Amino acid sequence: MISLKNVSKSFGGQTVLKDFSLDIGDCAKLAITGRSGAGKTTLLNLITGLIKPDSGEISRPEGLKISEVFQEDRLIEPLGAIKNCRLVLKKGADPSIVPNTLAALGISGELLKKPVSSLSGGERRRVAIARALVGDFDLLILDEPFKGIDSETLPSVIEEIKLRTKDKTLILVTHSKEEAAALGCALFRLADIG
Amino acid sequence: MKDSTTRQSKLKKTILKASAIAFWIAVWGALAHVVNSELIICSPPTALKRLVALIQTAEFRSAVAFSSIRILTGFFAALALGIILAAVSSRISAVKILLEPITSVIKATPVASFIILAIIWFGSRNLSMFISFLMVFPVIYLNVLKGIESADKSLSEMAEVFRISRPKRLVYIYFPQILPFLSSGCSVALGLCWKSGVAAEVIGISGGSIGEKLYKAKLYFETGDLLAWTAVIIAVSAIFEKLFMALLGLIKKKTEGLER
Repeated sequence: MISLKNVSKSFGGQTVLKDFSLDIGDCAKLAITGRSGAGKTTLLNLITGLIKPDSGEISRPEGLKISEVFQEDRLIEPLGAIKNCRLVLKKGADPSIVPNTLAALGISGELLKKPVSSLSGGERRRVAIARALVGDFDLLILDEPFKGIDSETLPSVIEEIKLRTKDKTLILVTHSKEEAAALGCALFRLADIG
Repeated sequence: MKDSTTRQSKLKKTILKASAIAFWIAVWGALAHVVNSELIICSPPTALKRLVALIQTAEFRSAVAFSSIRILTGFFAALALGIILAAVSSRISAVKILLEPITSVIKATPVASFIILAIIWFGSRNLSMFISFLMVFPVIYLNVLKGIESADKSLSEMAEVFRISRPKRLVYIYFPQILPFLSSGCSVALGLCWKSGVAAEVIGISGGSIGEKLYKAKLYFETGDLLAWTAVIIAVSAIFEKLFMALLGLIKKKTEGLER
């Protein structure tokens, strides 16, 4: 269980979260919605531990393994899709999971030979999703993950995520209720402050 | 098709460069002809003859080895310390603040002041090593620090979330981003270490060094020797710079896309 109790966070005098509390159960599927600037990404960064709260408490299970599709791709540009994904594999992991996952997301053949910098926006996005799925994780965070992915490819991408997160916790940040429903997520609207 | 166009353009560049060198050698020859005094300025053939004669002597080889070992030791020591301290400074701001006045003073102080101080402190034998170190350190330190500070923070965050191991982060995330800064720093520092190192040897009259040979050539008005030794310094410096930059290029290629 991930628990946030009375968490507040400000940036340069601008309060983003104030006395915010939320419990996320094991294997829960949660979609966070809200206006742009409401603090959705800040909330994710607090959960991952990338930023610390100004006040309040955040508790996570000991050794919680997190995987994330960030709002931006955050890929290593000169490397190819396989190498980008392999970077997150731990020692002893089966390396065949990388090409298999990439293929399931429609990245195969010639696309694997190119550096990710020369892939299209949608292809890069799918590589970022593949990277998040190949590692060992308990919690998958998806921050607006389907930007740039065409409607023909989207269903298979959603299917692959559903398959890999069956017994995992999933937090999705989205503006689309359809995406949330497709991933079987309960909706949580982050209210504006002030 | 693209390959042959690239080859042609490379050949054209080489021809142009060679023509520029030939032009300036011709200017030198014309000047020597007008002055007509081997004492003030010798002709290119005289300098070349002296160079060929010098290369065949054991004294030449030992002088080149003496200076190269010291100057390059200074360079590599500064390279290592510059990288380490830049990494420390990027994490601990107190170290960065502490080093700021030192690097500013080294950059602003004339190299001759350091050379004279170093002669008083250490004598002249390993003078070029110290001066080479001193001139290279701020260039490497400041360039690498700039590289680290301008590195993409979002990739570091990605590595943090995915628990990517430190060696992998270093090779695939940090090193490729810092390498262009390190590369340009090394290119500047390599020329600087030879120029300042030999200047130190000339002022300190370090026995058995290239600088000492230059000093003696000046003392006995052997302009041919002076120009021949100058050509040696330029050649050794250029060869080392080419080798070192090629090595950096190789490392860059290795970390960049060999493993797609």
